[in-house]
Amino acid sequence: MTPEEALQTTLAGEHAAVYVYGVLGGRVSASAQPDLAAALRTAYDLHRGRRDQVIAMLRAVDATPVGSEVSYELPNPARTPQQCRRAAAEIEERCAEVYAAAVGSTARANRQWAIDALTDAAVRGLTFGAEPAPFPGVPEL
Amino acid sequence: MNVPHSPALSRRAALVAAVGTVAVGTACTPDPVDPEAGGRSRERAAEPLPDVTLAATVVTDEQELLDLIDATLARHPRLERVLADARAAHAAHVTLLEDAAPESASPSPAPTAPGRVRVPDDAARAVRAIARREDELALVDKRSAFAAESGAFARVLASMASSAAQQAVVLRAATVPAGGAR
Repeated sequence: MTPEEALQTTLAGEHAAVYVYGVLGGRVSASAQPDLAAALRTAYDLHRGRRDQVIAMLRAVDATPVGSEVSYELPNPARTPQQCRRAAAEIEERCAEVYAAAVGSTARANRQWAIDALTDAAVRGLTFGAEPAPFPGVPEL
Repeated sequence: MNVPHSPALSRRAALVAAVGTVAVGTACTPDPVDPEAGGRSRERAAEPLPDVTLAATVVTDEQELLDLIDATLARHPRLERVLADARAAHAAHVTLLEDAAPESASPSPAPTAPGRVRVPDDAARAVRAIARREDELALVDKRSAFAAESGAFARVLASMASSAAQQAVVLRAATVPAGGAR
């Protein structure tokens, strides 16, 4: 994968994450599940910020950033708080894989960005109930 | 883990090849990386190779944390469940690094002799001490991932950093069983 391809894949992942977190945030009551609602809101803001950062990284190399899809499939029906929590953990796991691939295909500032994003996704996944793993983002290990 | 021909095993073999390739000094970067990256020229291949040095540093630090966990378990056996995941994760890291870059393991990072590792008498403090070391190791792994010439190796090092960061969080949140040291 070229550095640009890795960043485009990362951006596609951020578009999906922003969409899914937007849906999940709308399905969790801030009064009934304040902690989950706050965690989803934080994750939504964070992935929006990352999306904008990756767009800037691509523009810096004169690449045209990929656009978002109209909609994305949710990891599960997301009808209960527990399902929303699991969906969020799944999104972080998918993002971790994309960030790990970006670490392997980029260098310098962009690689540092991907390393930090991978660590954040691995830790954020715990917030949503994911189990710690020996090799987050690297499923074949 | 499954036996031969499983995807996990073949991908693992690929990583071993990627890092091992660097270790034996052939000029091959497995993943295309920004050609200006690293700033190190392959013309210097006769010198100690950067990724081998990195692997040596990381495997030593991973082994030291494993030793601390083992010393803590020897002193506080009731922490077995609290420390099981962290122990398994770092044992997996050490195994992979030793498989991937065997040259980096010579001289082998021999386990620290028991008694040389200081473990707090209080179990909760002992767990917090390990959590601090997890944070430090995450930083070492991150810096190594940034510096690695091999993209495949960088990816795995960044993953190890994330694993250590997860363990730091998990250990700080852990409920430590009551009771004194052995």
